Amino acid sequence: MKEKIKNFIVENFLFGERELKDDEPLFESGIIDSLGLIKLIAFIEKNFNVSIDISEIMIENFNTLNDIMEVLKSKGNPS
Amino acid sequence: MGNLFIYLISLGSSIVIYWLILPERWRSLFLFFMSLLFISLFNLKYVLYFLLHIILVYSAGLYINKGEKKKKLILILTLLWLIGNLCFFKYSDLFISTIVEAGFRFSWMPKIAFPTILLPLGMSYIIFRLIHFVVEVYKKKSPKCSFIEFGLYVLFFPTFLAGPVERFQRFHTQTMEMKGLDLSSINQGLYRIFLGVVKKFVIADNLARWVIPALHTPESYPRFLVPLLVYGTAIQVYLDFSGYTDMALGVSKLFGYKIMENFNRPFFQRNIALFWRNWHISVYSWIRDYFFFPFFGYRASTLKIYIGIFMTMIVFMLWHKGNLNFLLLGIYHGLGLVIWQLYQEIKRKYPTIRKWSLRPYVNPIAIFFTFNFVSVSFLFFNLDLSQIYAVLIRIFS
Repeated sequence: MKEKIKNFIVENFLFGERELKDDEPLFESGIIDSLGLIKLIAFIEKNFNVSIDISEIMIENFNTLNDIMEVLKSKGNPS
Repeated sequence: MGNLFIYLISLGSSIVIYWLILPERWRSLFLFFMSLLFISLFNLKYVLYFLLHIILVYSAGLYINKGEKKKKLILILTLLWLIGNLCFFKYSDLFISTIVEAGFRFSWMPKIAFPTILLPLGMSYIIFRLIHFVVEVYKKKSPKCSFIEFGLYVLFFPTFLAGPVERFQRFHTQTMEMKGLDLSSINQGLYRIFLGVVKKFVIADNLARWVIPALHTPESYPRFLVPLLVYGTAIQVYLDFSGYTDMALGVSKLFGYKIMENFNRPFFQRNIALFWRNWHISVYSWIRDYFFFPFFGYRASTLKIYIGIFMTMIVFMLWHKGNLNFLLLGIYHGLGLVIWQLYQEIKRKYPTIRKWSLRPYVNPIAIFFTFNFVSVSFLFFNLDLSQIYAVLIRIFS
């Protein structure tokens, strides 16, 4: 699951030009902006059959790959 | 000068009392009352008005926290009350004057002068803090706190007038974990205040005295100088606002609080999206989190997202001031952000363009272009449309 999300970010926001670290801040480094977050959430919901509540849409929850996995773990999805 | 002297004496005395005389458990209460006193210097009615809001929102938070059945209704009513108050004070004058003007033009109303409705000082920022708190309580993301701790967060006097709009969790954690006097914090605070004073009172105020009148008569200046005047306006607004922020953060630091930054080298950003992530950060991130994401970002189509980006900038600008200039400013920056997003889509589809954008020489060009785009927008702060047109004609004709 983590690899799939990582690949999505690398392909769509880094254009496949480099790797992404698990603890790399996606927003502070400018990799993802607000629109990118919405696309990322749409990807996660569609591909992993989870529902991200509106109250969970915060930069802090999706700032790194590790943060994203924590949110998904809290929904009972194994990494 | 007299007021400044009183402020400095009060500040110095407060710091001594806060760190050296008061027991730790009294510090929040002391700062809360200092904040009330600070506000009362402007107008005692503001104190009563804001206390009413604090009581209302705190009570709503308690009710919501208990998980009662009608908590969503209470949240909605609280938000309507807060937003309604803000809109009333900010936009009533504009609304009434538009009606009167239209009525006078179409001869169904005489031109009546209505008393001006004054916006209580600091209200725009206070309402944002209140909305943030009650929404976070509803989302179960807000730590429990006492009335005084909440009141202190809302009215914290260093950031009362013009922000930053700190997040409650970060502020409250510092209140709870406040340690003893740290001289390095005092040094940092004093340095930050000094920096802010130089930026605002030495550079920005003097720059404004020259640049703004000059832009009212661009035809009086050589053509090559007019773009420099435009840049001067942008730099003046930045130094004025960031200087104030430096002072606010510096004074906060004197009381042991590290408040979030509001600016991070905004004029050195390579695109408009990054500019907005680094300019007036506290309010821009607030509007993103409490307006854009809830209304336009949740399971939204691409078109809805683009509309959301556009609307967010309009709301952001109208929050500053409810007039035509700021509406146009919102449209200007909204269009800029949407065009930027479309450019991102083009880069995804066309690798050649993407590869070109990564060349080393493109970065300084992008920074220069972004700075120019943003600088033009600052003309809206001080000039009307005909004056902006005159400036642009002077540069480009």
